[in-house]
Amino acid sequence: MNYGEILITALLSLKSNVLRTALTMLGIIIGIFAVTLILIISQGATSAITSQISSLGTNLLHIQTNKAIPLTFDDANAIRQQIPNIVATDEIVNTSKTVSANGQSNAYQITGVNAAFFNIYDMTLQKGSFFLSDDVIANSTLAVIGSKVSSDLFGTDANPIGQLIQVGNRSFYVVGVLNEKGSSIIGAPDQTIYVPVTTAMNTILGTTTLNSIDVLVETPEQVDLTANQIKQLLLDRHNVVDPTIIKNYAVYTSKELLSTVSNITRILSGVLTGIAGISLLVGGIGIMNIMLVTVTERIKEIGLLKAIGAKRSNILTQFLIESVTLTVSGGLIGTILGIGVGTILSHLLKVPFLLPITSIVFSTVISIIIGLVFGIYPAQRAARMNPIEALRYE
Amino acid sequence: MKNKTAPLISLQNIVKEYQTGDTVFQALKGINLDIYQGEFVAIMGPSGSGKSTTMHIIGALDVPTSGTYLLNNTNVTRYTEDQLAEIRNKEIGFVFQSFNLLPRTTVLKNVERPMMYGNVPVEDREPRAMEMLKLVNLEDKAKSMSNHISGGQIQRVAIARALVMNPSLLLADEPTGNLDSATSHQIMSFFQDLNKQGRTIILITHEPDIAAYANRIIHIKDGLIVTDEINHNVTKAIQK
Repeated sequence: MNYGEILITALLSLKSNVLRTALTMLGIIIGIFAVTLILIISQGATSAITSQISSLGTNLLHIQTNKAIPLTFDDANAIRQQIPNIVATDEIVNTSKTVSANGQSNAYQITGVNAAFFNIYDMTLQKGSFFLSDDVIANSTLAVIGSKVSSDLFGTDANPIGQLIQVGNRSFYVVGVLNEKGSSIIGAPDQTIYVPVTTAMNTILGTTTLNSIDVLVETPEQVDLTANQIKQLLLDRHNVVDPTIIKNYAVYTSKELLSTVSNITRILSGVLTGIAGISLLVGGIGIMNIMLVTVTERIKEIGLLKAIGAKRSNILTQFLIESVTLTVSGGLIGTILGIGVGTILSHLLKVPFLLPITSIVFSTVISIIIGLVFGIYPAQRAARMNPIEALRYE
Repeated sequence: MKNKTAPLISLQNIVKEYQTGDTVFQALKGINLDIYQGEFVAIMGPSGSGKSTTMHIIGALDVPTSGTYLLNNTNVTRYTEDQLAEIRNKEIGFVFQSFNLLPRTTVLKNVERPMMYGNVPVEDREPRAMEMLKLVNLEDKAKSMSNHISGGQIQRVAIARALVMNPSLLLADEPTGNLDSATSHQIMSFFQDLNKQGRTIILITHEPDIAAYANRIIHIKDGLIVTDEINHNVTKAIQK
């Protein structure tokens, strides 16, 4: 038997009813399209987040506050004084406020930080300067603004340095404008106004509680040990004995953040792939249905083929190749559509586009399997047909 | 008619029963028939006589309920379906009344198809198919699609395909049933030519005019052979 010839025969019979072929393939196309797209986007997103996190450095610790144990300046000082191997610490508070300047008004993220923050997160300026440690101590009303904040409030050409912005009922002097950085897991710095953490706590928020403390450790190897030391110190300082609070008290390392993120994307793409799998199952049933119709339509042809010497295996192979041709063509179309839409979407989402070689291989294999699994029953029906009855069929 | 060599086809007390529910219908009630190499035999009978069932058994499309079928001295009575498929492929060339050709396929590919099942090397198929098409004077239609040729041409392509595996036997089941009388005559003359070249031909028909082209005419009725005689009045092909 010549498989090339059977393949051509299969393609011709599929071509003879283009609309039906297209509709039959739709389930497979949608399923494979969805799988391909999900893999492209989740791979891109994972790689983007991973590179963001690792660009923060794997020697960064992030201490998250908890209602039961409010973080304070004293905690930050204690960490600085009592824990070894620390390069820098940074106290952080977050809020959102309406900000007005230059006749414009808009809601922005207000983040209180100390001077070390800009260094820890590798921030760079397009204009002006950062505020300094002394400014933080002095409760100064200075602000470093993101590039988007600057262009929104002052326009693209104007120089906001030295201008006043109104945050709540307080005025701040703009001392620096950040370079564009894009959104990342640390938020959207382009749309954030950074002010001294002391000023933010005392005059904007009226609180003594920090949102979080960032700690930069000397080397990545010391991170886990330091995280444990800090956790123990904080629990001791606040006299915590309740095991559930201890359990929920978080000191995150970049490494943990990384594995959390990749776990989330894994679960998410798992769920979406499951949904795509259902579409493939439905598509497969559609294939089986249409192949049964095809077999019925071609009973006389099957009878003729048997009369001229086709064995059961010949008929079986021919119909299996037809159903596999259907699913593989559907799979190919789905893959191409998935890559096309994936390219556009990853461009829009600003995540890197990674050609999913594994997903192409996977889709092809899945398509072949669906074609075989759902094609075998109709093909067997054709193969087992009695030649006389088939020839007589009207 | 009898000679000393073994018959090409020997049906010995062939019985074929069909069961529908509790009732058993005997389509063939004991057919005894020898057909020799080089004969041109017409099997006649009204519908329901058992002539089609006889043809199915001779054509290895079906197996008898009892009795023995020797083809080329080989007992094929209890062959499996795949073995029967091979017999049909190599020993028998079929020409049917209708639906002889595969749709969506060229004339050439139709003629080549039995060679695909017969494992003839790919490079030999086209030359052999073309040779057969030349024999039926249709080499210029080789690339035509099977649905773009006339009824008479379809039957000639079917004959070309039936001959392509060089079978022992041509089995024609009402081959002129869908043709006008002029074309029918043309096809039957062609069968006569093939017979003169030494081909064994068995023709199933209910039309006496068509049976008259054969050298031996067998009548079947109610599952039994009623007459089996030499045709002394063979219809002659019009010499062109």
